[in-house]
Amino acid sequence: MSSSPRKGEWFGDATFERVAEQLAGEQAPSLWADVRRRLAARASARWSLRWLLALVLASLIVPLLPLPSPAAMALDKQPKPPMAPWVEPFNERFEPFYGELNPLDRALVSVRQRAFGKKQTGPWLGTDAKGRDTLARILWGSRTSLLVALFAALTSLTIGVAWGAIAGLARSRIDNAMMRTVDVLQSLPTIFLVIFLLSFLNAPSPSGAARSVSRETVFFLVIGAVSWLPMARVVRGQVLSLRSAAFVEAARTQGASTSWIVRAHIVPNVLPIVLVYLTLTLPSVILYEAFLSFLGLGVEAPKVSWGVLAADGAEAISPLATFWWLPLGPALAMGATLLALGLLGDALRDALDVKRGEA
Amino acid sequence: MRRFLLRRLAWFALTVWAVITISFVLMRSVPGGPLSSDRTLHPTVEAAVNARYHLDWPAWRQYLQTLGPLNLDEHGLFGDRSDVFGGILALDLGPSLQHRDVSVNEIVAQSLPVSAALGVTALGWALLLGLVGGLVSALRPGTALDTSARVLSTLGLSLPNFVIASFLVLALAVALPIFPVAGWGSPAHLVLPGFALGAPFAAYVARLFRAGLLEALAQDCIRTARAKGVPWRSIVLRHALPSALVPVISFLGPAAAGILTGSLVIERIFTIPGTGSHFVAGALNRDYALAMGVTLVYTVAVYALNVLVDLAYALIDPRIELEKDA
Repeated sequence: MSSSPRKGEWFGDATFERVAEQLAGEQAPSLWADVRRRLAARASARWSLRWLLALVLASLIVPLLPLPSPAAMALDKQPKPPMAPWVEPFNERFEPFYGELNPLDRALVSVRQRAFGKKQTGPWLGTDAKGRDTLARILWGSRTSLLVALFAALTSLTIGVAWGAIAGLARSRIDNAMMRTVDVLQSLPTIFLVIFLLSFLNAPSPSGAARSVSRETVFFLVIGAVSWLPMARVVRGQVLSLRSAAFVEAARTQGASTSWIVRAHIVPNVLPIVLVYLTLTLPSVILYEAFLSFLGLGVEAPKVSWGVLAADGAEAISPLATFWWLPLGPALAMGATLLALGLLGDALRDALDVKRGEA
Repeated sequence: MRRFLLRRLAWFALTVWAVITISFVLMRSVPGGPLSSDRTLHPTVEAAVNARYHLDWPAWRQYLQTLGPLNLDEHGLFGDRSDVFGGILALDLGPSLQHRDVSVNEIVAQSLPVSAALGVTALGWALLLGLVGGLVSALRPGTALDTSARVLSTLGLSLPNFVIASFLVLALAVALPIFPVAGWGSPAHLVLPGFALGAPFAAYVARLFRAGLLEALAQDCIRTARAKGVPWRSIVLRHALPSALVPVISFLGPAAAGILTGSLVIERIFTIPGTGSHFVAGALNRDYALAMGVTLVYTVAVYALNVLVDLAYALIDPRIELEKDA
């Protein structure tokens, strides 16, 4: 503990210097500047952030990269084991088959074709049983997994935070009703209902008519619907404890309006816990996607996701032939990403916990 | 105590009712009946089959029939008890639509012991690895042992259980043929699936236990005990352990629920004839009665486990009042 240099700044004489500084008109470092500094001081947090940023960037520009198409199959071939980039860096066998793409991706793919032509990377991470390139599939699959995470983050941040905040601020009767709703929703075995729902949508409709809602939409809605519940609970707890905090009472006795208190005291103090909680929600949502994909209820081919790839990899294992690279690639990608989110969450929690100093 | 149990019972009834109603609505809102995916039947045969499963009834009557022995037909409120559907209130989950001549009750009775054995093995792995890992890292914080235990536990939390399962199979069933690749029948068949199912929870238990122990060991009473000359072993076992176990025990409820969920996947990978694999098959083959029956069984199981955990929680920590958080 004595080795911690920050300790004195919060509890010792340095506090007075800080106050004096502020009185002298110089801005003391804000909480967020502090947090940034502490995160930067932690190697695991730096590497986690780098990995996540690289992943987001890669998933955005993947149509531009000289990768094989993730959907182009070569059914006559056996799965190829990984070949080191220096053995076969590139080949000229690119086939522009992608299935359905949105207009933006189509444009990006055509740019890629103009820039690289038939050139594509070799099987650096091997190919699967249908001759599709594993590296390309992992990178394209990251888009689905990240999109699921983004969607869950959005519902957590909007519905979850709003629900929790309103419940925490409202009178006890409204609060009770809102939280009981969350209780009932949480005690439902959602996973079973989700499987029900998705498998119904999976079934071919007898008339052959196109369904009004696509399965993918429902898939995203379902993931959003289950991901905001814990966030609402956490936010409500924090708001409730803030409401009775001494500094909020003090503000109220000085005649501050409710909206001012919410803006100046509640929001800044809820934000840290929301951020930390988000780093816990995202991994569980990515795992949830993998779980549903394993049961064949995820995105539909030719689209891929990490869950689909991991499930394919798990199915490729048999005592007759070991295609070890098929489970390894998606497992590494998913493991590294969830690990990065976990480490970042830990670092963020420590960095935001000003009372504990730098443990 | 009694108030707590009554209250939980009321919430339980509400949850079960919600599950039945939601599943019922979902089932009936599907285009085409549950039997329409089969080969085309002669209209007379189809009518007979529909009559057998009461699919020719109006929805409200089917609902009452599913809910309990209340079919409100010409036989009165409780209907003709020789009916195929006894209703859920009478603990009869009805006939399976896919497996002809077998009732959902029979399927559940056959497969539940299998799933229970798997679940208990998984929980055993989770507690064994989690408690040992947490204890080792809390007693030697900052050492290589601690670091490796923490890395392992983070890894366990970062991978889906079926990925862990596939690597286990690759290593311990294919490369080194110690355990069977899949199947069911002997205790050896339990080891790998149980481990894969329990691994994420072991990781979480290890984290909780480590944090709990470290916090307990930092307390003043521990320092006093050391100063008095109490042996270290009994300090850890008698003073620190009980309070460090409280968060672990409260995690057992969610862990049990998670293990049940995870078993859907693990049973499929290892082709274990448990309830979870029946549920997935039922849902995918549109065997509504089976899927709904299994959902209900799992709801009841999770609910009962949660109540038990809450009771155990109150026993360990007398400060916790049961009535408050019901």
